[in-house]
Amino acid sequence: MKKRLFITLLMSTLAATASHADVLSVDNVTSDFRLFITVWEGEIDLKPASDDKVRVDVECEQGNDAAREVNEQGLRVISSDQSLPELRKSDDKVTFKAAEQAGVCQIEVTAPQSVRTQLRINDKGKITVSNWRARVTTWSAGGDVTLLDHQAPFSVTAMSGDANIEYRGATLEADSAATAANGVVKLSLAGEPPMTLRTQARWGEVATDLDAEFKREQIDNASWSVATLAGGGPIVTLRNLNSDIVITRGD
Amino acid sequence: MQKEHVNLWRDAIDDDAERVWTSIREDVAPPLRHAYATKDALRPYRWLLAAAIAAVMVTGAWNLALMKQLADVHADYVMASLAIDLSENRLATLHSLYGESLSADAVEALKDLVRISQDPNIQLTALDLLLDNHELSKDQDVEALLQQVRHNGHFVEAAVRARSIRT
Repeated sequence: MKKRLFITLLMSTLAATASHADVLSVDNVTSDFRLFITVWEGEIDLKPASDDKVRVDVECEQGNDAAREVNEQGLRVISSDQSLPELRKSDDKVTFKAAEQAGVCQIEVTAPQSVRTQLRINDKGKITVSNWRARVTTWSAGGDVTLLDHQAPFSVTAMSGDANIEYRGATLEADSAATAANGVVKLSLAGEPPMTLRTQARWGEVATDLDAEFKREQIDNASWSVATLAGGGPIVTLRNLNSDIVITRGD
Repeated sequence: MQKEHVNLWRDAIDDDAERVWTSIREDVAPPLRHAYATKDALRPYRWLLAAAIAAVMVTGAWNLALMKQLADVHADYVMASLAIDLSENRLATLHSLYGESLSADAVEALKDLVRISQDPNIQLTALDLLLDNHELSKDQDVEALLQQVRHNGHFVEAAVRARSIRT
C-alpha cells in the first residue's frame, strides 16, 4: 500500500514538472555586437569563448505554476512559443531570452570576451561572470551578482543579494557602478588603479583596507564618502540601500 | 643735553666742523613728490594702466561669452549623451552633472531615464540628481514619477524611500 502511494506521488510529481535542455549557438560574433541575456528565474554563468561563437547551454524545468497556465479560453496551456528559450542574432545584437513560461533555467553562456554584454534575471537567481574584458551591465532581482577577474567597466545591481566585483584591471576605461539591497557590496582591487570611488551605505558602514583617504560629501540628506586612487580617474559609484560596502585589496 | 651732543661732534670733526655744519643746514632735501613722482613721470604709466584695465574688461567679456558658449555646448552634449543607448556613456554623463545646476531640458531627460532605462544604476543616479537639485521636492512629484517607471519599479521606489527616511 505504501509502495503504491509512493509511486503515485512520484508519478504525479514527474507529471507536474517538465524539463527542457538544449544547446543553442550563433557564429561570427565580433566585438561590434552586443549580447543580451534575459532569464526569468534560474542562474546565468558567463565565460569567455575561444572562438567567435555565442553558445548557450540551457536547461529549464517547468514547475507546477508554469504547467498550469491557463489561456483566455480557460484551457490549460501545455506548451507555448514563450515556453521555449530562444537565441537570436541580428545585425549588431545577439539576444537570448528564457521567459517566465520556460520555468527555472540554468544557463551557461560562452561568448567572445570583447563583446559588451547585458545579463538580467527578472525574478530569482544568481549571475556569475568570469574573466570578461568588455563592459558588463548586469542585475538580478533576487540573487547575488558576481564578476570574477573582471577588467572592464561595469554596472552591477543585486536588488536582493550581494554585489561582488573582483576588479583586476590596471586601469578602468569608463565610469562604473555597483548597487545592492539586502546584501553587501564588495569590491576588491588589484593594486591601485586610477579611479575615484564614491560610496554610500545608507544603513550600514563603508569599510576598507586601502590607504586612501575618504572625504565626506553631503548633498541634502545624501552623504557620500569619496576617495581618489592614484590621482583619480573614472568614477566608480558603490551604493548600498540598507547594508555595508567593503573595499579590499585583491590578491 | 643737545648742546653737549653737538660739542662732542664739533670736537670729533675738528677743523672742518664749521664747514660741515653749514653744508648740512643748507642741503635741504627736495620734497619726495617733487623728486620721484612728477606728473611727467606718471603720464606713460597712466596709459599703460588704462590699456590694462581695458584689456581686462575685454578679456572678461570674452570669457563670459566663451563660458556661456561652452555651457551651451556642454548642455547639448549632455542631452545627446543621455539619448544614446549606451550605459557607459550615460553613466559618465550623469556623473558629470554632479554639482551642476540643471536646465529644464536636462530635468526632463533625467526623468525620462528614470522612467525608461532598464539599468537600475542609471535610474538611481538620475534620481539622485533630480533629488539633489530639488526637482522632486513635492511628494506628489515623486509619486507621479514612480508610477511611470517601466522597469525595476519596486527597487527604484525602495531607493527613494531609503533616501527620504534618512532625513
